[in-house]
Amino acid sequence: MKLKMTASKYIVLAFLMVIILASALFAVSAPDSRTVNLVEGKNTISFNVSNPFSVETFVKLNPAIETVSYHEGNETVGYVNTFGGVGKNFLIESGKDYEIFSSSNITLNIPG
Amino acid sequence: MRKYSLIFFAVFLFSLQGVFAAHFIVGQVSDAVDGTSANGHVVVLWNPVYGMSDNVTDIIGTLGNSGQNNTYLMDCELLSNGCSVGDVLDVEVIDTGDNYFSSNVSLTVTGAGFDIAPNIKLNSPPNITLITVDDSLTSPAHQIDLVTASTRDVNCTAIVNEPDGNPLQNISAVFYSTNSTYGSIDDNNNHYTNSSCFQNTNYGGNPNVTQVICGFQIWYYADAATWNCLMNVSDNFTAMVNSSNYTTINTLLSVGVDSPMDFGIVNSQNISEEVPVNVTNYGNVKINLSLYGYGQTEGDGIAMICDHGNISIGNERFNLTSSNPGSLTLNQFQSDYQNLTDFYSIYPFGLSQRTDDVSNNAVNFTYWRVYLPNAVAYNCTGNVVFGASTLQGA
Repeated sequence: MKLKMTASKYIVLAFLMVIILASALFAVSAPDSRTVNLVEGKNTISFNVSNPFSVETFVKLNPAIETVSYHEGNETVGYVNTFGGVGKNFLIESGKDYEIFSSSNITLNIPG
Repeated sequence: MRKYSLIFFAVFLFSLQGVFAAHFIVGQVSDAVDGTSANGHVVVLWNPVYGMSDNVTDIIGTLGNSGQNNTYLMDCELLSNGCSVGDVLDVEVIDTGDNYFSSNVSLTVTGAGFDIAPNIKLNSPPNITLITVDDSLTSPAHQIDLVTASTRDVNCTAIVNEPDGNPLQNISAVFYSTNSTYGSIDDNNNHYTNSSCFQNTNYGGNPNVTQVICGFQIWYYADAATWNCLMNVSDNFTAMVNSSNYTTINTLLSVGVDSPMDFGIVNSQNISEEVPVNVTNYGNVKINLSLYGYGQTEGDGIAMICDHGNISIGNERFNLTSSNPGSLTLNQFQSDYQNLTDFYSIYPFGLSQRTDDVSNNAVNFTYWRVYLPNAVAYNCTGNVVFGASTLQGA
């Protein structure tokens, strides 16, 4: 019985560590920084900008970005960098989490 | 343990708030060959493993997620079962009521930020440009004259344009009268179906144009009425179209009679045995009978010419409704039977058109006797002319 309790503790602790590490790895906060690094693949970013900017402009400044999206209710609003830009040209603003998929490791150029 | 569980749930719920995933499927849809725009049509994405009921849709064009003409954008993570790298997904344009849709295309989900589906072409449904229905008689045009006791060939002919050049299939035509409906079962009186129509693919020298001929053998007892031929055609995408045209089947008055009437051997100054004679309605309307008789030439006042003497027209008599078998007196003969005349007269008979496709139910008996006056002998022959009429009898 004592052994079983100990094993459970280790499992829970290991799971918490995985969650925390994953959040640290993929969630990047860009307060008012103009130099944010993206890793190849999926990145979750929230911006802290005084002037919102369009996703189209943002993607043009960062051609390695494949998609930018956010959730609104049960829907995903997305912009895909193909065919000249597919999707709603939404504004990127503070207070929202954006999922950005990059084709390579890049340093973000933020308009403004 | 309870303490760790609470911490675990708190962290998990917190993580869910900030984490979401999207994987976009982008594709383009070409306009239909007939010029119909793909924009505004609905495209659906699903995983065949889970079935089409778990799907995500988008509107093609600027009204949809893509904001671009002829383009769609969907997030496969919005499927109830989500999507993972390696999943094979299907996409197609569905029919929202205008008969324009597409075949499905497949794509494999990759680890990239999005995937591009193969191009889709909006299918054009076939188009029936002309439909006519008539028999082989050129005059009168657009009217059908039936054939006594037989069938008349009637063709429902359509010119079909299939803009995509795909083969036609599921061709059928229904030819039915206003006394029936399209969905009724076949009945020789009012409803015919042909699902083995002939296709002339060499028609007009245009590979996209086909002449379709659906033939019907229309029986003599088909309704005298307005008839409609409705033809269905689909392409190999099962985009079905139909078109119809009307024609008229004319009234057919026709009667058939057992011949000859044989009264047997009758002695002079005697009345023959009753001879029943079948009368058959071989037309398509209820009929009364017109009757007259003659010996050698019409109007000669003679029922039969004999080797010795003649039988006058009044001595051949008939009853169109009831049988009176056995021996009769001359008075009974005269009261129970009407006398034939040497000019045509119409008598109520009320024999309806045939309605049974298996056995002919348009048959009624008539009953005949003849009186041999004195000094008439040997072989006697004469003529009785039966006719059909829609007029009321006397």
